[in-house]
Amino acid sequence: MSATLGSMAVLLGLAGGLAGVVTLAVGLATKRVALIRTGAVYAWMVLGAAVLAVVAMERALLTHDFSLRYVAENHSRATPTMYTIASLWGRLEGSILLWALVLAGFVAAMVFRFRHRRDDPLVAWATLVALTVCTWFFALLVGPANPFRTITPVPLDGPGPNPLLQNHPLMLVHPPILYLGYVGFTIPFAFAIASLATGRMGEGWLIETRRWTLLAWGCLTAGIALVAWWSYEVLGWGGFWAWDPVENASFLPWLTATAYLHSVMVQERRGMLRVWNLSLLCATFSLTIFGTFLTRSGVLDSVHAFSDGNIGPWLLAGFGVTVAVTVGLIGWRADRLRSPGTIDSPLSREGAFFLNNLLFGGFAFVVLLGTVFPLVTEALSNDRITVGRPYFDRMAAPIAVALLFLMAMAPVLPWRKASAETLRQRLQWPATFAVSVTVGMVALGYRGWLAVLAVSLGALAAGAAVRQLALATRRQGWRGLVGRTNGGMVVHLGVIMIAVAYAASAAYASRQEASLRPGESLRVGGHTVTYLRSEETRYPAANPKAAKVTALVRIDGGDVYTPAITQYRFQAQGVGTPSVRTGLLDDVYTTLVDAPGTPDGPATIGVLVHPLTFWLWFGAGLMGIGTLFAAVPGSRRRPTDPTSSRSGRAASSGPRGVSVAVPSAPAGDERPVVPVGAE
Amino acid sequence: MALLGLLFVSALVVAARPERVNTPGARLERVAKEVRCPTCKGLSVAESDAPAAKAAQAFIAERIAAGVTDSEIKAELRTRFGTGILLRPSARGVSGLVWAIPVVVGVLALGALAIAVQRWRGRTLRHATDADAVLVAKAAHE
Amino acid sequence: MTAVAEGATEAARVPDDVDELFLLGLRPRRRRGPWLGVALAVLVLGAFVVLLVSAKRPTDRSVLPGRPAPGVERAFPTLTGDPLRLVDLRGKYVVLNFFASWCVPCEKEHSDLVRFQQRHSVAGDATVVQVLFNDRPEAARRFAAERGDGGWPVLVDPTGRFALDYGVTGPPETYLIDRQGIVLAGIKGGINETTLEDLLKRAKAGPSP
Repeated sequence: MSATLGSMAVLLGLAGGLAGVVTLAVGLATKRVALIRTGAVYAWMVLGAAVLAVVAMERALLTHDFSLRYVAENHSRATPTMYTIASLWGRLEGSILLWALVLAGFVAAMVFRFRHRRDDPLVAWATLVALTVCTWFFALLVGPANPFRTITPVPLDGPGPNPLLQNHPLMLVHPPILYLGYVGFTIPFAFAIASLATGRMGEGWLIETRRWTLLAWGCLTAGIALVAWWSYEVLGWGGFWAWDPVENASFLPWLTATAYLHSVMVQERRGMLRVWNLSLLCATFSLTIFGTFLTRSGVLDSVHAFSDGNIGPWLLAGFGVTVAVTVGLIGWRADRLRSPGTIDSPLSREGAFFLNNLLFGGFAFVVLLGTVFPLVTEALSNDRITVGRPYFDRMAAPIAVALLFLMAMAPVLPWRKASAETLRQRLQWPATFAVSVTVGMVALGYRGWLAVLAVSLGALAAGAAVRQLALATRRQGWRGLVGRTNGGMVVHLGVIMIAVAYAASAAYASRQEASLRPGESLRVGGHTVTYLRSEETRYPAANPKAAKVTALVRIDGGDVYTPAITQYRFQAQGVGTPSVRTGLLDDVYTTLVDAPGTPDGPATIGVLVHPLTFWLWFGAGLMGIGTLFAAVPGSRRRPTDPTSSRSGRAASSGPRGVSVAVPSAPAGDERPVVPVGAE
Repeated sequence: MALLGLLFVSALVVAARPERVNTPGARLERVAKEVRCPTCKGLSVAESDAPAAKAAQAFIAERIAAGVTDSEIKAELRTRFGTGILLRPSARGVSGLVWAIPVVVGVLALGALAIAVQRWRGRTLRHATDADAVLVAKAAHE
Repeated sequence: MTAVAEGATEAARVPDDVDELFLLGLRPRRRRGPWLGVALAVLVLGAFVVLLVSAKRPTDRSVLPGRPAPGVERAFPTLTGDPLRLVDLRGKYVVLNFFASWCVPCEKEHSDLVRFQQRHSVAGDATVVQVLFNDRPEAARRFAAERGDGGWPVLVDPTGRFALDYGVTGPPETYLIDRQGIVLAGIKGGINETTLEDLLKRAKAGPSP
């Protein structure tokens, strides 16, 4: 029953998408408003179909309907309810189903939000593009990634989801958030294509969809942070980022999206960098499709990959078509995209944002190159090489250092042109802070010029960000924390924490393991870990777990921690669970490497000491908070209003030389600028 | 500011590690970080707890004790597993491209940037000529 | 005309540039630049897509064939207790099979190996030797008890050093070693009877000219 319901729903979604696309296309071609209006309504049909399909699948999972192949391969009667619900997206077909649901939701939201302007051909075009993407995903669901295939004979039980997916509640939450991020970029992308197609590139559409892009970016950031946390807490190798192909696949669109979010400010203010912005936005969307391809095609080995079937070529075709269309459109409209203004001086905020684009673009290029390079060499020389952490760390380091430096410079650089005097005056306190941190660090005995450099630049950037926030709050009270620039500064603080924590982890982590008898200790990185004893738990036959051995260790004479190894019934190897003591300065990460053979025998305990890891997660959280702050509307009513327009609250003129995007009476040397060809 | 700069540079100089530590433990760590764990997907032998990783670590430790150099150890692992066992792509041959391409692209980008900056400078820097100064003086007196 | 509306710049700024003249509708212009960029981008993309479409799943290939079999002099404990050195089997073809009780393809290939062994132990020209990989001896004994004992020696490799010497990345892996102790073939993944017989036949026929 669920199978039929689901298959019908998916077909309905496909039909609705196709109908919408055709109606809108015909309506746009013949300029019939009635058709354009009906076309948009199909978005609701697609949403309904997606919801129905998901309900059908969840029903099948929750009622143990093993007649569906997806359920038979993915679910067992013993799986707890929460993980059963989450197993919807545990494997390939289900993940595409989730993607389709999120996409349909976004498209319906877009249609709703712009319902007052649905007669506008530009909105119609955007809906058309969005519905095309929907149709394609539903086509995948009907064809190569069909989750509602049945099998005979119907088994009585199944193996359940991969134990790694059941180990931690994070697995429940991270894919939907990640998908919100990936899929969220579809809407701004649709508008970008629409503005290119209609040739109407001077109307601020990309600015009106800013909050959508910000939401998608925020979710993508959260998704990546959650994956890193899962890696750290669950996988047991003590790290959080392995430059794994699937991790890189999620990182690539994040890089281009971040560049876009910055660069679009230049477009807003001065109408420049339009080709960059369109390219970055389209690249972001294309990279999400590419990321989907990498994760699911199986061409690259990854601990996160979950590939089956032959969906690879389809996703690749989608990626190819997307890039070809966007490149063609941008090339066609290139004339109209040239901006009347130019960057006056490299030492200006525009210059900084331009450099920002280059750096992020370079970063994305290098990560992409390293990720697909094994495929290139295999094609050329029949020998598969590995491109691993040493390459990525080496390539990312100079770019990250340059970005930290830029993060310090950009908030203090005024628009148009800066003088050395301005910079010197503004950077006085941040520089003092940075140098004191550097000297302190070296005095405390830390060595390694790259790590020290990273920390000093981080301190400089933090100083600049805090300075900005301090000035803004002094002027505007609590409102000095929200709005695009100030929220952005909070996000920057988060990024700096992450960068510094990563550098510290890479440079100053220590690791050791030893076979310890009960009572023996291991001393690592300034901490003492004492092995006490082990306990074994056996589970009843109905439980997918067979047994669990837990070692009790005492850290620094304080609390007891419990690293363990769980043996699952249907899986071969035991799954290790680390136990971590998190501190403000460092994490003591304990693992049980080898369980003791006899109850009093020695166990092999592994200990890693990671400095500053807490700040990594705190920084990620700060990025989330900053994103929310940044989404708060500024006093300017509409983004396309001139900066000098009357705003909601009394504009006060601040101290000279503070450039804040929240508009006020023109400060100092800046005359009111009508946004030039504002997009 | 100059004082700050001086302090900063001297701190960095102090921080620069004199030379690589060559104790067996440090060498083991260094080599292990570059060898892929044979049964894992992408983790290094230093990071992984898999039995195959342990075996590889024992092998590396044994070879270090026998006086074999780091690169020879890596070569020995290559003869057993193929080139894919090393996490750092070789700088020679086809795989050298992965190192070369970013450098080439970077240099090209910097070049293009330099050219672009020149063009911008050329466009916007306008110095007042003497004739302009005369005009302004005349207008000011009117 | 939309061009003028779009190009609305700050008032009273004299256009000093071809671009701006165009945008103000005063001079038409056709640009070749973008199309060059488009052509280039399409070319790069095409190459990229072709590459990825032709990409296969990562296949590990053994680099051992042609080299002397490693670890032949070392004595390994076996499941039955008596240690065994591969060098003692010189004179026969050895099918060295790395396996584990938890490995699903190993279960599948087990019956093939049993049949191969039955045929060739009679002829006396080849024998299967299994090596336990990442597993406990009890589990291996249970495995054999459940699926049929092939009657071949099963070496225990407690430190994993033997597997490392053969470059094993995951069971099952099978290596054919000839009578002089040279590795002739290394197969990563499951194997079946036909392939084994094929390999043996070609090995006996001698090196190809």
